[in-house]
Amino acid sequence: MEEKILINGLKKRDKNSFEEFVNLYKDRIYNITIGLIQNAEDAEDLTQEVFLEVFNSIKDFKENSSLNTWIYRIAVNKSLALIRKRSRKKRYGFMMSIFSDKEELAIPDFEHPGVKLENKERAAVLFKAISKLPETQRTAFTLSKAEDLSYKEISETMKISIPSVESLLFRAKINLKKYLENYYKDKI
Amino acid sequence: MGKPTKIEEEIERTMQSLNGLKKLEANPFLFQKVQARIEEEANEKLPILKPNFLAAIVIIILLNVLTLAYFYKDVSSIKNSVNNETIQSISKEYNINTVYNLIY
Repeated sequence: MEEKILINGLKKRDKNSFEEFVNLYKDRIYNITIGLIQNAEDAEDLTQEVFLEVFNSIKDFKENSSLNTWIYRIAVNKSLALIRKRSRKKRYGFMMSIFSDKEELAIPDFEHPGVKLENKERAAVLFKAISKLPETQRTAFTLSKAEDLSYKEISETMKISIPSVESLLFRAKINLKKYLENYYKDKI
Repeated sequence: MGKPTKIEEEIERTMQSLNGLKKLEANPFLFQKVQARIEEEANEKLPILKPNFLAAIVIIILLNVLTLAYFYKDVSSIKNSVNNETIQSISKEYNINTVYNLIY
């Protein structure tokens, strides 16, 4: 279905249009959210919330950007909101552990279901390193790896210039290598 | 440039570990789940049908009615007493007590 027709159908709250839209985008959104938040269960919930948000706010979609860009932006923003919420919980849990006898629960390593078997262990280490990156670098790197988005698509989603995307990816790789160097220094 | 160290090799291999990352498939019933949540939200948006909301409206209406009734009663009694006083003073002035007593 052409994008314009799809948008009109969504704005009219046409069920068939919405079903087509969900089926068209669900895999892409799931891959973005699972890459960013690194938890399959949360990613499934978040994917639903992205489509709920689309349903509720399509009337405000001004068509300044493509439908792709708009929905990717919603997915990224919701993922980052969840990451921030988790960080606050983690800080709270750490503070509580200082004052109580209970040990702070360790967060298990993330195993992305789409990683090749021979790379599972290394990928888990890499995802841990990705989770330590600043938000913007993490977002750019994940969009590039998880969804193979082009620099142009990443720049439109993040509302930054293409040179900024290049810079973020460059710095992300440097930071990841620094983390990995420290990690492997203790292991080797 | 010298031969990469063991650490550098490990770093490079780890950096490449996401190459060929398989695209995952979302839940095939995602649309049905989203639809169910939309319907749930739509039902929650009718607060007028909730018992608590209805009770609150009834209480507010009752309070307003009681206040108005009390206010009206006060005004009526003041009006009556003014009327009686006025009539009495006029009747005194014009010496028409008998007529007043007869009527009231």
